[in-house]
Amino acid sequence: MVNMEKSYKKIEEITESLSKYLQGKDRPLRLALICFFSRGHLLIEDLPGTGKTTLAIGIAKTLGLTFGRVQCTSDLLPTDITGLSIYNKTSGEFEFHPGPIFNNIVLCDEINRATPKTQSALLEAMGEKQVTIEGKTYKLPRLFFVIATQNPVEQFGTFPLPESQLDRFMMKISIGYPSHDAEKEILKVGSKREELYSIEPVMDHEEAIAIQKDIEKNIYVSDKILNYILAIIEATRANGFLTAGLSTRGALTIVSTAKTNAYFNGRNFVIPEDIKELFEYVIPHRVIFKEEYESLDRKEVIRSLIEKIPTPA
Amino acid sequence: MIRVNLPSSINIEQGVKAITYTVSLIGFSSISGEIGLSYSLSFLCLFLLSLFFEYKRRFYLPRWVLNGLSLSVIGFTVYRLELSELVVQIIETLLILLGIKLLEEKKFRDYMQIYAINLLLLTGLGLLSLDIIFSVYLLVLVTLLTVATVLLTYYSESPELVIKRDIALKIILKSMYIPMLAIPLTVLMFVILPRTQYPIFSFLNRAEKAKIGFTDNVRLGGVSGIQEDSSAILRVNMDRIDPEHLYWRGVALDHFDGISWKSGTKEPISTTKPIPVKGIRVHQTIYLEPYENIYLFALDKPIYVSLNRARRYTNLTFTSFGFIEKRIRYEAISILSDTIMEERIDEERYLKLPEGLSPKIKDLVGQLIKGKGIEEGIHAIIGFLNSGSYRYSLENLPITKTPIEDFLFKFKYGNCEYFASACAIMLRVAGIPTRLIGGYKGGYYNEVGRYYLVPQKNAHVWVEAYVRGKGWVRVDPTPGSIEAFSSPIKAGYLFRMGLFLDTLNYYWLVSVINYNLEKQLNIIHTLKMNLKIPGIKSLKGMKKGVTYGVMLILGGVVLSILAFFLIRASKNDYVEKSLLTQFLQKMEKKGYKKEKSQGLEEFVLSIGEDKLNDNALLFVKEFEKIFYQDKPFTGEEKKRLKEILKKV
Repeated sequence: MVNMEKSYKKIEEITESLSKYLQGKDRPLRLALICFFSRGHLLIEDLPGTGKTTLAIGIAKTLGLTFGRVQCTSDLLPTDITGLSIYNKTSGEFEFHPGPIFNNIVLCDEINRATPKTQSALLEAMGEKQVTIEGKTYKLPRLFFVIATQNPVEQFGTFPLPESQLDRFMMKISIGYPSHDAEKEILKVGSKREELYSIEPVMDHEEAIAIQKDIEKNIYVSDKILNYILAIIEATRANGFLTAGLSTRGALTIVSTAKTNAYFNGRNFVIPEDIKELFEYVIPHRVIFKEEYESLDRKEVIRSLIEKIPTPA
Repeated sequence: MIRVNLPSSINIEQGVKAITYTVSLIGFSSISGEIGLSYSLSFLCLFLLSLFFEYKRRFYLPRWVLNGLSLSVIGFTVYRLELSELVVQIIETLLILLGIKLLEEKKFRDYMQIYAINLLLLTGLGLLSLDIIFSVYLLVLVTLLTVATVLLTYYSESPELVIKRDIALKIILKSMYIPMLAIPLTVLMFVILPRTQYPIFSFLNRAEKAKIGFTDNVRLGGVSGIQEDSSAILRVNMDRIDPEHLYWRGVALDHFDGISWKSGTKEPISTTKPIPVKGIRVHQTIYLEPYENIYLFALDKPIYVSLNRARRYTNLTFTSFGFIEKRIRYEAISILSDTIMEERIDEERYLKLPEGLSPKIKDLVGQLIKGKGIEEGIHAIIGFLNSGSYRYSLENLPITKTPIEDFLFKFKYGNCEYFASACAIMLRVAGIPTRLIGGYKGGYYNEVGRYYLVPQKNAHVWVEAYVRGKGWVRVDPTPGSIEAFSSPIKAGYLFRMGLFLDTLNYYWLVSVINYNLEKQLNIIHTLKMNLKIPGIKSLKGMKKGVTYGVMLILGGVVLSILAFFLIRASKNDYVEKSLLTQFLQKMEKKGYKKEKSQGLEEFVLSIGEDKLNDNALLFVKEFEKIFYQDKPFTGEEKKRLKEILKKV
């Protein structure tokens, strides 16, 4: 409550400093940050070349965090992500060499190209925030944020993530093409990827953790809001298009993203709009459609469902 | 707020206020003569005080003070409540409440409350004295209140509205139409409704032709057809009984001149004299519709009828003092029995035969009763009439000079009058004294109102034969079962429908038409006596203490109910809801309706108008701060939100 104003300013600072490099990507940036501060992971489904990497690097740099990248291919092994022990001749012992997952922000490109075995190793690490290699457990950094990308077009030789795995991502978003003006600007100045590496961080590790804690502890969620969320969940479970509605994990996600959204809006309490703004990124990938309705627009179905639920006020 | 008092224009708020004060003053003056001086004085003080605050200081007492004051006034009233002066005390209380109300900062609903109190005051005056002055007050007050309500509607739309004098005049004149139309209509309704002789749902009635109905002059061979008339004559509030007993006794006829039956001299007997009838006693409350006679109907073998100046005769019939010209209500006690034990009768009178009676009848009777006793003879004659060769009919009745003879030997059909007359005469020929009893048979039981509805078409005539050693025995020679008179199923759909709707009729007449102010006041008086006398006489302080205790408890209950409402009104939910509804209503008036699934901010942001937007957004944000943090609304916050709301 006390440092509300200050922290809110910080968030604004981050968005401002990054928007220079991410022209026209305000919304994905904001969503990614919400995801980060809600301690979740992000799945971006988009075509190559839309700025996923730029986004990931940008966030890592402004927050003063380390960044690792995994390009998934079908021959990628779990140890390529987690790291492995290598025998050191001089010391005569096995030395652990951590993989890219031991970074704060991990970009996992084209996750659907990796084999299920590798995918599950990654997803497990995301869920448990630790990895176990050769009987030894290694804690992942406290700030740990995975941005995985998926190419929706190329389906050949891919292993699409099963629904149960998708649930581990807090949000599923797409970046989309930049607007006409933004694209023109990009063309004019060229890619700013290089400059991105040299930007000054606006906050440090500790501050980011403090904000995460602040959001978790100090944002008030009224019973009215909880009832509203419950109404949404129950509606997904009773919906005729769906075989499975939202899980309890899904419900928890709605609460924590709504809290962060409220925080981002400079409020220390949640209002229904906080939920309504995010539902299309939080809900659709968590529900399972009946086979005959697979072809429907998932977002539209969820939207029509939400439109029927009255807000508390 | 700056007062605009241009000579040619009127500020709507000032107009409403002026009318409100005028109305209150008129309301007060209407009842000032009936109430205690201290109340008049206190009201005047409050009235002047409110004028002072309103126009000199522009200051209003906070609501909670006034509410507390009102509560204590009500509490005081409850404390000193005397049943005998209930109306006066209520009026006094209302007057003080009016005074307190005037002190408040008045909103739309406060004005409405003030008007309502004034109307109640006038109603109270109506209960106390029905002077001609009452109608004058009524006219003035109704007119003023109509104008005030119309102006108030303008005021609630925009308090700062200033209207030109000629437009104001136009509004006032136009709003006068309402009382001008309403008052004559009301008067018309007032005159017609309670005095209607027929049920309000008049399809129970048909055109007034030769209707079937009760008569004390049974005349045969006079008319050729009788139309059934379904309008009600009796409504009898009682428990359901066996339909076999449903004979409503009205008149006893003993003299037959060959064509018509008349009633000879009747001897009235004291209503307290014991009656020689044995059986089950049935208590009835009877509502009798007006009809052109004096007989009071009751279930057969009535022994008691509770009507002022009603007369009872030896033949167990009752008459009222005068013609029954309006609907009356009386209680009756009857004994369900077929016989009246009477040891000595004037046999000659009940055996008299009309002159020139056809010898054919005598022969017929002779054949029927040959070698039989009295009761067997009666059975034989009824059996003859009921054998099937005689038919019941209301149509094509023979017009003739010798109706009995023609009925028995020529036409062989007729209505109950023919059957009963023939039976009575045949019995007389056989040496058995008889008389004709006129009244109603059957009736339709209404389960909802718990009463029998007896329509005119159930009018019936039957015979009473005197059996020595037994008394008068009821003999009904008319063929056809009682069901035809008491089962609504056989009476047709429309009738059944009417029967159902008659329940409303019944309640209307029970509660409204029989309402008698004096009677009600009497009841209150008796109640008061009952409460008080034992207190003074026997147990002195003790019972009085109980009375006060009861009053205190009652007062406590009233207070706690009031307190409950007050607390609820100040409760958070209520405040939240009312603020929100006010806001949403305001927005709706401006043409923006919030979808149910829209959040408040979402809703406001979806509106394009910038100016509206800013204040609305401010309101919404402030509201949400409290609402979604589950915080209580403090008085200050409420005030602030209301201020923002005003600007929206």
